[in-house]
Amino acid sequence: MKNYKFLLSLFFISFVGLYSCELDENPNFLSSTNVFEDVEGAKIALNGVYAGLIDYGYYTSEYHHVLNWTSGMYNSNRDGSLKDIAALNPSPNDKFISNLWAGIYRTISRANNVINQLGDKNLGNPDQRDLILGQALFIRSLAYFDLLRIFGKAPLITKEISSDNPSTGLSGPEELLAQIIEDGEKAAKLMAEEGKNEKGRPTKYAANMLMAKVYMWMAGNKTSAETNLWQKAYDHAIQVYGKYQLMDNFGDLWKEATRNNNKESIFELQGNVENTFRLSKYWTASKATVGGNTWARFKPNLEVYDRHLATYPDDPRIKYTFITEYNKYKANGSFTIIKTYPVFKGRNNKEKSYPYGYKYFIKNGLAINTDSDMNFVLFRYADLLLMLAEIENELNGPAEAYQYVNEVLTRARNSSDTTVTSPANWEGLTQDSFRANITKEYFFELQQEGHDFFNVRRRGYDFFRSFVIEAHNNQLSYDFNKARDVKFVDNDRIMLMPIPEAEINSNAKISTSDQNPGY
Amino acid sequence: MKTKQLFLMLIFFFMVSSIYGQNIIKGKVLDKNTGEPLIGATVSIPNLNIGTITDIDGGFEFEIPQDVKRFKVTYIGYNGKNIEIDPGKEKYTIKLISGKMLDEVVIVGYGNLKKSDLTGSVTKLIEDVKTARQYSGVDELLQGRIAGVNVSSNAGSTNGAISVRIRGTNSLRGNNEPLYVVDGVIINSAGEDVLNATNDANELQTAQNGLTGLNPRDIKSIEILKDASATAIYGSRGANGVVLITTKGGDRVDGKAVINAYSTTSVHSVTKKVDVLDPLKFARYQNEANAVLGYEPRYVIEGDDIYSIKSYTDTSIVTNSYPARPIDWQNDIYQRGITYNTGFSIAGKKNKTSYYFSAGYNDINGIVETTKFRKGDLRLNLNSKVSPKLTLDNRIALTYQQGTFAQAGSKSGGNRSFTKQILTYRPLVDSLEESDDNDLEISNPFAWLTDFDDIIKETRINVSTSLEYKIMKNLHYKLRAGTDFRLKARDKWYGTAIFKGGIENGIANYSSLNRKSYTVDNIFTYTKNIRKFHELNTMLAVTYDGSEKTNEIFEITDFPIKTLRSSAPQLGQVISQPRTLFLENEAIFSGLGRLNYSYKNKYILTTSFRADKSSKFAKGKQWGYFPSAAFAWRLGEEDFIKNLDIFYNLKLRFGWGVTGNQAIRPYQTLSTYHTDYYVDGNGTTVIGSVPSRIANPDLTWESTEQYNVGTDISVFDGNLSMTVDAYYKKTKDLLQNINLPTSTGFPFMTVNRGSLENKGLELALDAILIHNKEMDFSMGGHISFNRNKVLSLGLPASTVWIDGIEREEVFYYGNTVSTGTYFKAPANIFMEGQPIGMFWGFETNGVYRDEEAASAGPTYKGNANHAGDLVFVDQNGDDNIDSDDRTFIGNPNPDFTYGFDFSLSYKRFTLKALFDGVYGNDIANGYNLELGFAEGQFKNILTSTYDNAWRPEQPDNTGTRVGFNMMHEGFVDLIVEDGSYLRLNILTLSYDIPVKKSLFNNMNVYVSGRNLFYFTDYSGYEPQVTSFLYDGTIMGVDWVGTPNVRTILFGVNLGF
Repeated sequence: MKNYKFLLSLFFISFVGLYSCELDENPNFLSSTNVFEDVEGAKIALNGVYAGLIDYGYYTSEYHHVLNWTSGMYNSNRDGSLKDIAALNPSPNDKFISNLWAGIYRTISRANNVINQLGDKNLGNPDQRDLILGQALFIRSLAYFDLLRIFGKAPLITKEISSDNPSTGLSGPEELLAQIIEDGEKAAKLMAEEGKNEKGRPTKYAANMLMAKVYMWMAGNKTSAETNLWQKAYDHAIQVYGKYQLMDNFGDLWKEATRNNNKESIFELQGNVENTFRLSKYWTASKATVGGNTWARFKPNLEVYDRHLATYPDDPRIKYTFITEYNKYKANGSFTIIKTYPVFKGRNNKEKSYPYGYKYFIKNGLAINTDSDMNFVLFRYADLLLMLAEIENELNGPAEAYQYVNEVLTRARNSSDTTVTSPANWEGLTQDSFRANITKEYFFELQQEGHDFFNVRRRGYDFFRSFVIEAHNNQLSYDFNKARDVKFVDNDRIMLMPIPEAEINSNAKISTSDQNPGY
Repeated sequence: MKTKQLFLMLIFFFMVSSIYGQNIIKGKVLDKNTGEPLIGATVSIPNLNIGTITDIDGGFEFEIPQDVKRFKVTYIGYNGKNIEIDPGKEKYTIKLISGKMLDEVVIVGYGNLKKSDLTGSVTKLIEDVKTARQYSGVDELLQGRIAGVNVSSNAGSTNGAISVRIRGTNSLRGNNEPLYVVDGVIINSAGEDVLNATNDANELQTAQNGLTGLNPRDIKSIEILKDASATAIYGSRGANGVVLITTKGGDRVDGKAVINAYSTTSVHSVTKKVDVLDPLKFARYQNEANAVLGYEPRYVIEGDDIYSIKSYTDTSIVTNSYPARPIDWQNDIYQRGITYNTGFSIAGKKNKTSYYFSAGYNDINGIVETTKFRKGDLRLNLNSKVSPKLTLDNRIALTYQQGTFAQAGSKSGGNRSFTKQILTYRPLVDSLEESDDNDLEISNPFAWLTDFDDIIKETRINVSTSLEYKIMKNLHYKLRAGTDFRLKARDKWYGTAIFKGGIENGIANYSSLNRKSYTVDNIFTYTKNIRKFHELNTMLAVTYDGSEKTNEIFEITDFPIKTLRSSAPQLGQVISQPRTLFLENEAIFSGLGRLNYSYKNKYILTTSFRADKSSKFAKGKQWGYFPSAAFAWRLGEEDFIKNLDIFYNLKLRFGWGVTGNQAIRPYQTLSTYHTDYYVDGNGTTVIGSVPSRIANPDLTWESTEQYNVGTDISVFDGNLSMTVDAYYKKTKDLLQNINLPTSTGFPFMTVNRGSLENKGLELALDAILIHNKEMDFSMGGHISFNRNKVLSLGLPASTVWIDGIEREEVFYYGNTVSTGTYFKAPANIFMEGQPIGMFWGFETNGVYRDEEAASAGPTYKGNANHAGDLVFVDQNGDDNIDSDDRTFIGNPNPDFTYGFDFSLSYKRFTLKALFDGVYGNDIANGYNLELGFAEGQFKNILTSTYDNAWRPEQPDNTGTRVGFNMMHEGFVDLIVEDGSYLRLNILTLSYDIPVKKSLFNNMNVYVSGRNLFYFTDYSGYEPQVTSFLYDGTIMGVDWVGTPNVRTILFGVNLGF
């Protein structure tokens, strides 16, 4: 009987002992409770937001796929896309569009996390806290601005998502713009002055430039008589004026030694070999390096090339914008010279029927590893000068606007070893003709740099139709019966991308009827 | 247990006999079938507690009181016999028939019961050792044998993923694998593998078998617990059924060790090839496609010679001077694989210790030359009676395996998938020499052989130790502790000839898993027999178990020197995935009990209860309670039935129980952060912290309530027996990884949401048809029907079109099948009121015969049609085909699964056959989205696709025109096929070679064939779809399936 009692009590004790034993999870991970304790933790969280920007879904890859193809300015070696998205015919389940949407929102959710977790905390160092918060707001503003311009409407999410309510309905342009402006204006106050920022991080002037772009986008085709948005754009753009400098030679913007973090750069996304931008692979011709793996996802359309030659015949920028001849390598290092359009006239050759873009083309043919430390410059000073020229022309006519655009043109002219006269300084234009010219000028200076999609849409579908669709479909060099040349559809739905099917399917507050018109 | 009882009996017998000793009975117990002696059979007089067990020659001798009229002989796995005592007879020769025994002991959770006392649905599987040696894993042992147990595995991919499902799909979360318990220790690794080391989202690693380390030859019995009244004792982990595995022990009587040795050689070859274009047709197809697409021709065909065109000038065509070399990739890559297997076991008993030791070695070569794999394993099971009250039982198994594997196919498909490249790669090569592969592009099939490694090394240790103390006659206490320790490393190399390696100048990636799981059980059992009417069997236990897991990943790229491949990560220059550890700990603490009460051996009641506390849930949600109750009525013991003298056994069973499922990854209730990377202004990588998920503190168990009604009937002295079970299961609070709106910034979240039901009927039949000295013929069969239905999902309704009718339905889509170019769409839909995972895609209706018909048809995503385009059915009548026009196009759930087996022995020959099959399921043959459309790419396609393509001159052809390429992202009914099959799983012929007192006691040779015949209309490699086994939201999709394999095996068994 003693045994009995002993064992029963043993059983009882073990049961009770274990009952009270704690089974709480204590993972070896960081969480919101230990990340935002001090400046260092918050900085690391901010790094995570930047990491969102260089995510594959955003500026490392998908941004360029969607925006370059639907700018209507580029052909592609990717046959699968050539007939749909690259023919201005994207579908709501296009993977590039879905990935881009998801990538932008991943960045927004990280920014929301930093902004909300910082809340009223001062981290014991209010200055540092402001810098961190300012950058997070700047990135959120930029991300929503991208969503607005690409999709027209989007769920506006500014708080951290909770598990019980993951769906948010679509907000229209007005609500989105209100948030973009609120964040951007705040960021412009909180971010660092030039010289006080960490190397490679944007200053408050990047926020000013962003705001100038926002107001210009809002102004669209309205004149300054109709809206005060041009004035608002000016107020921000002029803050940046004189804070940066143009590189002396346009070509230096694309040379390995000088392309990263130079004096012309206003906002630049940082990369290195481990966290490399895919742009080089996307722009470089197949087998243009010993390493091989490059894909020519984007190749300038013929009208884009021809237009530049026709407008500025000996513009030194041409050779830093287009490649019409390159070495095609075999694995053993031997190569053959490939000459493309305009020398090659055939229309169905994957290698030769189109010229290549120079800016991100890998210049070192002997490279084995085609990953590089290249950064991606999103805002540079020449862009700002062109914007200022456009704004000034809208506000007060050409008189004071010439100085800005001519600064850019002069640098272009001076980018050659020999003396050239093109592009000549502008003079003697009316307000209307200045406007017509400056609208196109962006494509000579900033082509391939991720702005084309926006710059062809900012002035409305009429401009898009004549500048992109008609210019393309009427370009005589094409043979649209051949598979490589694709004819563009004339449909104004292309002004916006379709809301991704993946979002519509998973979001309880969005239905198919909310899809952008035409999709 | 048994050993101990017998031992006691033995002692008893000596005591008793010394008092009464009057009559001596001698004899021998033999197997009626084989004539072999039965060692350790019990010979007893039950009422008097007198008995003995037979010795190594099957002999026995014991003394009995004079007034005793009969004695009883029993042996596990055999029908017992009552022998009348013939006073004049000196020696008895008793022959027992192997068969189903009612007083056989069945292992149930945390204890065992007599089979006759079972109230739940439990199936016991015993495979004889000769056959067991042919299997390489437990999954194969279970395949096609048991009603309600469905095993999916592809014999073609060595060490490939396997999936076992008991009574349908309970959970939408992905893992529906049953719980495996080996000698009382929980093995929870069926779907477990190392993490994918690469951060390249397009590269998914081939899933591998997680159930390693268990050698079928060491298995004594497998019990499958199917209904909730049996599985509820496993509480929160019992919902998918439980597989209890018991390994062999030593002999039960002292004596000479029994040594068995075996050796097998098996030859594997591909059962079927996919019919893709031969070189000549391929060249014609290319030229035709180029003409349609507006390109110049690619080849000049002269007779049977095909010359590649190098270039065109204005006036002439320049071709290669030599014809292109034809290659049949399936022939070249898929070879004959040979596997060797050898091993031995020693079992015996010495003094108070019985032992079983076994060792084995496998050398496995797959059908692809880079699949090579070696495995060695050891097991030592020791049982020692330390004192009359204390028994120590120790079981330990060690397994080591290493090998290299061919890639079985990547989720992204295309040239990232080896299996797909073998089919689609062009069958013409422009090089003169066999060895010269300059002409071959990146990721060609040869490159996959020469420039890709997937090397694994795995060590596994399974230990189960228990100490049983007999507190008093009826009360036992058992302390059991065990571990399943698993160390697996997987190193992969992608050279520059492979697409992935080419991008980064060589990639080596490393991932490893270090997991130890442990179980500590405190078990009390109390049995009592009161006045012969009441039998009580109770169990009470406190258990604690859990696991500690560390996953480690690392990837490095950019190798200037590539010769050392993954063995020299130091030669890589760029770290693309820094060494990262993922630590996951989880634990469950439980209290549980069971009461089995039997009245007059007629009415049996079982109730059980388990309370589980899991670390995976937030405070306040950690406890879960899982009750069960069952009742059985042994109708056959009632006099009015007994008097009919028909039934050997007749039993009715009713059961109910609640079981749970908590198989989600830990930490889902917490908002944790992970590391992402950015770069500072100096080009240095800096770390960033980012939220990993949306925390869901409300998570709790998924619970399944199950009802079961069953009957066991056997007649003709047990020679014909039947078991029928009907069940209804309802699972609620489904744990689901729901797709979050991408606007949240996160892809998915784990939630408890919705419910579904499974109902089914299972029938199993066993018959011994002929049973005599010369010949033995038995057969068995089973069939099971399961129907499932999604009851609720907890989502808002949306509009869909079904059969042209607009409906508001509640549903969600499964995961997108591929990340690549083809099948970038979900295949399955989970809709309330429907079976789970119905195929959802476009319905088609042939092709447009001419331009007139084409222009009258609805546009496809806004594009006009052409003659030869696919006619899509416009479900919503808006004259345009888009994703709203998808509808039901198939059902991946089978109508029924079945199996049957025969066993025929004649003299020394034995022939055994096992058939299994599935009927009425649909398969989405993902290959055919690429192979089934003549898109005109520089890739091979099916011969039938090319032959049937619509052409202006062949307007009656039913296939799409050459150049039609709109099906990249879609999923059409054209690729949905009937997946029914019946196959001859195993056919074995064996022969016992007569041995006359030589070195051997017995010698047996056999030849066996696996997968010999496959009756199916399915056009893909294998109707047992194994793609996405562990992704519950993709069902019935054959994406990058590997060829099925036929194996011929020769073996020899020796007994010493």
